[in-house]
Amino acid sequence: MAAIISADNVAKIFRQRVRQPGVLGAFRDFVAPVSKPVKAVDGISFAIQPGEAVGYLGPNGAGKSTMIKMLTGILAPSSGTVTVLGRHPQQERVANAREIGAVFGQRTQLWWELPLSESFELHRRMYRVPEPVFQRNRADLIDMMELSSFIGRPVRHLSLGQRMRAEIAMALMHDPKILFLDEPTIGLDVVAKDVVRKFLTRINRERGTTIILTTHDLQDIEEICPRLIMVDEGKLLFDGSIADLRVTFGAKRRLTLEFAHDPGHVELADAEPLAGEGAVREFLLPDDNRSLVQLIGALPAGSDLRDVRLHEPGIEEIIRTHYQSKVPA
Amino acid sequence: MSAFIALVLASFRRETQHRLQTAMRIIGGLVEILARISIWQAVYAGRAAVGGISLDSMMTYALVGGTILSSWEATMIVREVGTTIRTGAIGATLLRPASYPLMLLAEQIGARLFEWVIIGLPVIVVMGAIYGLLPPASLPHGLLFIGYLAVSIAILMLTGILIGLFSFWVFDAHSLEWFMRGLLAVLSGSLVPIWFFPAGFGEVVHFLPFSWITYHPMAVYLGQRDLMASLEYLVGGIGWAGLLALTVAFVWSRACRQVVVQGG
Repeated sequence: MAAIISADNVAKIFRQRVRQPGVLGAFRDFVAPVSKPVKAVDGISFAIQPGEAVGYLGPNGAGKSTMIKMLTGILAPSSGTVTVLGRHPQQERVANAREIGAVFGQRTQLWWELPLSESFELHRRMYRVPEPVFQRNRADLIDMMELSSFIGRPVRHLSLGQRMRAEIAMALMHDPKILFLDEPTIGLDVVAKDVVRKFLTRINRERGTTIILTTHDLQDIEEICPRLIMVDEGKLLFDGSIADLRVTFGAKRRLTLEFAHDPGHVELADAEPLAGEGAVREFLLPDDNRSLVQLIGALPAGSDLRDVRLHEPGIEEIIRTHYQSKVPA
Repeated sequence: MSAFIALVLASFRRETQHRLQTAMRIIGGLVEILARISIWQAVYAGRAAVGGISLDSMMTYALVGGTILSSWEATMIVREVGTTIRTGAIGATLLRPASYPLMLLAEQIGARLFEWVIIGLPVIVVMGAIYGLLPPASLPHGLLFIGYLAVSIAILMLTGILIGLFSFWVFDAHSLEWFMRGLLAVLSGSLVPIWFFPAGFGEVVHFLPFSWITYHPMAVYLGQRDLMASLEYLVGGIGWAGLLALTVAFVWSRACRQVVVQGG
């Protein structure tokens, strides 16, 4: 199948003013400003197939939003090419905009002073959504996102959680083939986050809408996106499934055994013993899909085992470990 | 087209949300027109006509020119573009499948309609009742005036959008806004009609597009020109509007490449 989105060696360089210190420096800035290039995106390539849900992940300033802005046609890449639905998104911005939906968590697409229902109506006209399609989508989305209690209220009176649900609903009114979400759960409480995640998962599975989502909340990705693209400092770090991520970054499961009394020396197949003495012992398990029963069965007979805990490393832990390992000691 | 009209109406409705602000703007409008009329009364100092223009004509000029054909509020367009760029909201705007200058135009026309109906009309009625208001010189002059009104709006909005688009290069829109205010106050003839300008300067201003915003429409309204000349000037105004529209399209295509979205 042909890729619905592709990025080929994309770079985006911004020029950033360098401020000179002091009064004289301020004067020099005015007369002859000095700027230095900042690489927000640095040679990134990937391809996304129709129907995929992809998490685009990275710390603040990693170049996530810049990439989304290039894919949605707001910014032009400095070099390399991005293709969305076979188009150059910036040169054919209007045609591209008609077929994609986008939610920028920190910016509103709704008309602030008008009732929510009017924002939807304006959206219908602007995207030229046929009336029956619009009526069906509107009813579905109001129902799924539970918007009916505040549909007549001006957007500026909505809570953040309500507004975000409304933003996502509006972005889907015109049946976009791709939905871009930039930090869709930012600032939401636990319940609202859960509603948004479940909804996005459903849209992806049922409608087959391709989803690209940037976030730094890893739970968003664990629940919605089978595939993960990780970036840092503008460069691609990882592109694959979460399971692959564990392998790539060497994250192992950790087993904690608690004995009734100090068992002395404990050997556990190929597991690597970690710190722990006395009655509590910890092991790092090798990645060979051996079951817990097999492992424990291999313990010497007569071991007085009280408790067993298996800890799966979340992607949060994997990534934290990775980012921390980069920090110069 | 349906989206354009919907945007015009939405922008109109948006204006109606601020009732207290509207009341203050009506009062402000009354005070401003009062000031203009007082100035002209003082200038005429009891004479019936100055330079062939009667005091009654001048009062009508101040009243109609200062409300329906005023350039003042249109500078808001520059501030709006500036804010959109400074806050990074330009990103969300560019996600919509529509031309940004057209969206701006629709929103400004909506705001302008509101100004006419809700603010201009009460001011004209109140001040007209107190000081008197001349009707258009003749029916054909009145009909031509409607054409001039459309040209006036087009030139005003396009000038605003054009200057506003320069915010993509000059991030401080405030300076642009004041530049436009000063420029239009003088060159549109909204403060002082161009027939009172010094000869050489007046002739130049006469042919600049800005004089179609207030001066030419009022000159036709008051019957200062015969119908043939009025028609010629109307065509000239349409020409300027077309030229400005092309310039806006060109500058916008340049600005697109200049987009930097502020703040993540």
